[in-house]
Amino acid sequence: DDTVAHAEDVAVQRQRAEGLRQALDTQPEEQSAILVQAYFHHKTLSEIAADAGLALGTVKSRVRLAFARLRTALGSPS
Amino acid sequence: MIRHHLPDDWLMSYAVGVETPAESLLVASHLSVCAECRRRVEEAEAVGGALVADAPETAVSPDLLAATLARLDASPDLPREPVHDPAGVLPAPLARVVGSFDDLPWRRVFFGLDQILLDVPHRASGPPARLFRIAAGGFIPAHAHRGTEASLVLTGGFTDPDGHFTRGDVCVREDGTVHAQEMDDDEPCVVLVVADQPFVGRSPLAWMAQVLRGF
Repeated sequence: DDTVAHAEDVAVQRQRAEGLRQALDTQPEEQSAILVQAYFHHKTLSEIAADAGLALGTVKSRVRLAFARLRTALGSPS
Repeated sequence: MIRHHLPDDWLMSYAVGVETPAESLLVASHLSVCAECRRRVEEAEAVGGALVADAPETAVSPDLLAATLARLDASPDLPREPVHDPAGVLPAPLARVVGSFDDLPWRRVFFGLDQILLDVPHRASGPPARLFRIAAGGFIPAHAHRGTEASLVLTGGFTDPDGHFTRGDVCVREDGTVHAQEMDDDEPCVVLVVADQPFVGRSPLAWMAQVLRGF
């Protein structure tokens, strides 16, 4: 019934969140630094690139690498 | 079926909310027709949640909650219902900006090429959004891109070295890439384009003159 389905949903969600946290914990520093700048400091990728003295293309590829890795941790198709 | 999606850096910027209004329009329009990218945006939001859960606790000011609630109250009323294009062509986010596909105020750039500069606020440094309509069977010769350009196909289609793009597909060109595009024969190709640099380095007229070389 709905309650059971809901409880299963919550369990799956928790498991995914845990997997995601573990993946973030072991993320290469050069990738996590960019995510922190974007999510916590609300910077555009151009601003992050300028601040770090990196090419914009480098920042973009690190974001794409980071998400490819996180998606694997979530068990999603890449 | 949609075969060409938005890259993760676009979807993350959208999830975080640091995209420009023109980029937001293009992403929202693609999302409205692409379940795959909607799922990816949800994942990018989940990443934000996990980052917050992992972050060290920090003291906040005592009035933070009240201030946040007050800001919610002060938010402008947004239209609750999506605006639909009576012609059934434009995704809802785009219909809200330009109205019906049948009444678009096209401006001729050159024979076979029309455009509309959309009324989307953009920062001095940010990209404008444009609609382009290119005649069926048209050919755009090889051109280099400065900056990044994203195109969302709305009608018709085209082929470039990366494959065949049709309705709902997004083509993102990064700085320095060169490509030629050949339009499908069956109907004009209408694309929503967001480019952060002017389109061509050399004379636009010389470039346009080649657009319909085959005619």
